[in-house]
Amino acid sequence: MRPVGRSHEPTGSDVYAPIRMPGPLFDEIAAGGGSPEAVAFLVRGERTRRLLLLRELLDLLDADPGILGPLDARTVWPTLEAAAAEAPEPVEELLLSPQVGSWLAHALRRLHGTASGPPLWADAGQIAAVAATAALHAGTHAEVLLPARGGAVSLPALGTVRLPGRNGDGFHTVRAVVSGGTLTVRQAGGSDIVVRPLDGAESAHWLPVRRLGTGPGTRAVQLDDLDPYRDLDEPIAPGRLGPEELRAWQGLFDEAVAILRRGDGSGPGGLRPEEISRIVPWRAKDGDVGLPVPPAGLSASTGDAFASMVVARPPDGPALAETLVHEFQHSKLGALLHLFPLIEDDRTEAHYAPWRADPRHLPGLLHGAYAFVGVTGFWRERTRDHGADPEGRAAFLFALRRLQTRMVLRTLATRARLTVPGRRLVTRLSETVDGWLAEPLDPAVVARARASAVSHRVEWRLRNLRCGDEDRKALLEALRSGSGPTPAGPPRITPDAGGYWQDDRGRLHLLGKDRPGPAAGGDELLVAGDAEAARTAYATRLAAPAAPPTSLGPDPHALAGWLLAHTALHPQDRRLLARPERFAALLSAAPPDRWTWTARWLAGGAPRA
Amino acid sequence: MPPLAKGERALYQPVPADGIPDHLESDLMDLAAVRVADLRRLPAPGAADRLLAELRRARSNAMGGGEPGSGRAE
Repeated sequence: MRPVGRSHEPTGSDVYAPIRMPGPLFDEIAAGGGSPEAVAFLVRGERTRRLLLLRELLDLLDADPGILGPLDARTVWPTLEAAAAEAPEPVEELLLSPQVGSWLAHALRRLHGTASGPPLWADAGQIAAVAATAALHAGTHAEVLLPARGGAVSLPALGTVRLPGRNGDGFHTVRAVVSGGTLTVRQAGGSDIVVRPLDGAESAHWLPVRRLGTGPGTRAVQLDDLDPYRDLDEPIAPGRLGPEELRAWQGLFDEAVAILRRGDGSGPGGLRPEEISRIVPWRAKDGDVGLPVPPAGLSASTGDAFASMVVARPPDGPALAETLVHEFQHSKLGALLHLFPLIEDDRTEAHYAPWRADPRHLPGLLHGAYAFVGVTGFWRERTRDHGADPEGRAAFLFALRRLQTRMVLRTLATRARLTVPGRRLVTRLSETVDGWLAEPLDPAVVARARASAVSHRVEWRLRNLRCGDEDRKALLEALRSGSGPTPAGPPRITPDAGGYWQDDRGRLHLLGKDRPGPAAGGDELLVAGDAEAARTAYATRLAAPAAPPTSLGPDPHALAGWLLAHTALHPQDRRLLARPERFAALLSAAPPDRWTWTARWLAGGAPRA
Repeated sequence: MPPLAKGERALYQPVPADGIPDHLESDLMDLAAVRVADLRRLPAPGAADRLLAELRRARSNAMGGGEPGSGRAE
């Protein structure tokens, strides 16, 4: 990995060699895990990407220095260059920080017109803050103009300078001098503000980025509630956590680290906590009332900020540990995708993802499969770790996720256009999950997991798919004429597919209650194994005037439950569950007292009328 | 196996080289030996079209407006 000589007027392809990833390291990542060496290779690729993006941005600013408006474009690169020459390591670390990664990508999107945000000069002008931060690390001298938002000047991965007397949210410039690790903000008509961002404690003028310890001798993880570029793209205001919230995060993180340290950090589902760079606490706001998911389970990440993740505070340590594993998987796959195209970019939202309420495109399915191989491995490890699984759910979650992940990998292997590395990735992931599927578990747990997986898939299809028009016409005609059911055609996606729904039966399967209470509904009865009573309860719910058909047709949750109960009573009719939307298409022509007969007819088991 | 995309085999087939019997070659030029301070002294690395095209795709926020998709991206 080195430049390979120079010619008289070298071009990029003369000077550089392509990145070559050793197959064994690729395979470690592709199997869902990764040794420190394999992850380090991905980080090396990320460094190259950051350099390429920085070069691109600098070239754009050279071509049009006016982009930086009131800032001084001439000082930016010399400041950064001098700092990098003086202290390469901390400047490298700064370049690799998630704050710089997210900002750099966002700035290039702004210049390309695919992102919005504050005034362009302030957004792109964060490069001046990067240069000043580099000078702080290097101890070099610099005089720069920095962008400020209201009373805040953000220094990436260090913290925020607070300016007194500056209210509001407007953008303006401040003049700053960096020298010997000290930053001085010159205020017109006021006294200077002097802060020491590398080692200064929190004060009226300085808010440092908080860090969560991962253990003796290992890198701490940032808990970033300050940086404007800590979300997935556009800048947001600081949201400093209060002392109680901070303590809660520290406690949860300590618990999560202890759990992760008990596992194998290199295998699928393992994670070395110090490889996480940053956690960004996500907090519900008034405007988030219409979120498509309950805020409690929210987490997200972006390939622009390797090893960083936005996380809503989970209820306990195991939940946080699972989320960290999940999001780090996305980071690894994102880094791998930066190195190699893995899958054709087909964005048709048409595929079943067992962890989502809506149809998904194939690249999204690949991301989900990779993340959930990690999650599956995480719960597999917890089956041997009772301290992290006091309620004994790990075996169920392992059994459920290995089934669901394998199903998605099969979809990818048969439906996606994969490149050679992409096929190698899917093959290695499949090998991992196949190995897990061969591991013995309590048969009752396996049966519960299978029932939960089928339940989710049936309800997902009823909510998101419709019988094709021609298929439906032919099927209705066959039903009326008394002939056999016609062959199935391709379904169509419902126009209003994509709304969020909660998998209530899945929650009950997880709890594993086998004794329904006196006021049990269809779900409780079904999960407890009383299919007859469950079918009656679902039929009653479907016929109730209080629950008229929605735009999705008959209540899809109750209809899925009815079909699940019916097929529990008539196992030979299980083929109905593969395409439940065909049964839904017949309901307009079948009164409730004919549903059982109609279901049996559609499954090929009823005598001709 | 579905058909490969046009040109895919030529670009991404693992090929033995440099004594490494099995490796995967990226379309990215390796800047491991380039110091940050030297970034502007060297010729433009080039061959980053795929990376830049992917980067320019519009994103959404999790917190600052817009919808985060469905909680987790996947």
